[in-house]
Amino acid sequence: MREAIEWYVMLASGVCTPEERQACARWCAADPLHQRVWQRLQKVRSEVSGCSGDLAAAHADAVLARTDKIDDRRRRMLVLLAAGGGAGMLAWSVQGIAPWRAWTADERTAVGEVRTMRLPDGTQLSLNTGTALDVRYDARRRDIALYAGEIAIESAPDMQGRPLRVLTPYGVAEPLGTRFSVQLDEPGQSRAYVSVAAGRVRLRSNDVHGTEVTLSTGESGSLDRVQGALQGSTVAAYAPWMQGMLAAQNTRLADFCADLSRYRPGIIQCRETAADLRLSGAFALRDSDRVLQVIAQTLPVRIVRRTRYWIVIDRV
Amino acid sequence: MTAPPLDTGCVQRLYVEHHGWLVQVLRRRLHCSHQAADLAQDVFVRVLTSRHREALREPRAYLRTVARGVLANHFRRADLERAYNELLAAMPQVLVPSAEVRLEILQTLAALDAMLDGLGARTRQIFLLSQLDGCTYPDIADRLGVSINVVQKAMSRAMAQCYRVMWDDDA
Repeated sequence: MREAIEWYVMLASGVCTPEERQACARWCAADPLHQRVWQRLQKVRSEVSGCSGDLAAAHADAVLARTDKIDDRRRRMLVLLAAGGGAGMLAWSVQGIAPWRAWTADERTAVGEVRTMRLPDGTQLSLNTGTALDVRYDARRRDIALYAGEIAIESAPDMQGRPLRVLTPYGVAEPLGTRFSVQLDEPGQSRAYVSVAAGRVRLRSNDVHGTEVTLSTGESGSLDRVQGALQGSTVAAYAPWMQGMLAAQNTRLADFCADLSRYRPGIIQCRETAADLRLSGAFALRDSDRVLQVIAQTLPVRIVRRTRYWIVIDRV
Repeated sequence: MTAPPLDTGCVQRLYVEHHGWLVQVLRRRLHCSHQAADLAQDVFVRVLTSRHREALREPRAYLRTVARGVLANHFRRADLERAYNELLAAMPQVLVPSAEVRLEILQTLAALDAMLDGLGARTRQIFLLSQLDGCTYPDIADRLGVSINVVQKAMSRAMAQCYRVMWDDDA
């Protein structure tokens, strides 16, 4: 049986050569016993993948690991807070939105990473820093499930007439031939913030009221956890991060720092004394340290680096 | 001197004499008569299909042992279902699969759980990436930050155990 397993493992690698495949076939044919064991090993595979592709490895791993933890708790009668896993495939949180969803997402960007991808139907999808999402396209629909971060979409009309939707924890944004962005990670907010560059987007909240709002070119709105679908103000700058910029318009320093924090690992704390200082301008995100320098030059503040990842801004 | 095998007649006697007691024992653990009756049936099915070959000197002790296994399995399945429901609860509502698919997935998860029981987290991840997502070994090695050798060894370990779990006789 050990031989059979070696052969099976080699063929399952996904990168074996035709010669190796032939050698395996010869081994199988050499003995009916080999055949039998081989077929059984194949059955292992079919046993687990008979789920019509609805079960992703990451989800299965999350459930199995979580079950172990629940089991441990039952056995030891201790309260365990399930904690982050080794290879980064599993992370839980007790409060708020469970971060593991971000880990199991199809597409992710790291902190500070911005990239654009093209979806099968021609839709352009730009992912901002710390984004996690799933793309679910099939015969009947085009769904993008946004778990964290911020995206900008330039949607393509679909040959098959499938509706495009962005699913968020707070509701659904359905574009009607548009360019628009959806942001989940505004510091201190429980909502999905949507701004429209061109076209129209309909927002429908997930909550019991199922409120709806339609946004047009240049408008913004949100799907709020508590208030449902809301209309917002006009958009001053549409997704400046796509051009690698962070914009401030008489913005409070504290708010600006919270925003800048998204693009770098660690945190930027703004002391109370400096929090209400106002900032204007466009800053290049490529070098966030430089942004901090510029802030220190233009405002009466100083930047204290407690550690590499902990920055405090204080009034001078 | 070989002892007589556990034949159907034996099992029938076992059932008649101890079934009621077994249901009570299970009900104390499960707090539910309905489930207790179900699991009692599972215990006897296991007894019937086991290859146990010794005469029973202590039938209740034996039944307790089998029941322990059945209960452990039951609780494990319940935990699995709970973990899966937590996963579903955190998904956007629209992505949650239908009831039939959920049931299929739960059964697959239970099978995976039995097959991968005891293997480490990393071995499990490697196996799942290969068999569920169809990743190649180079991809898996890259993604998890390990060598291809580690991936191969993990797959060998996992396949060996899967085989043992699925066909617990010898090849």
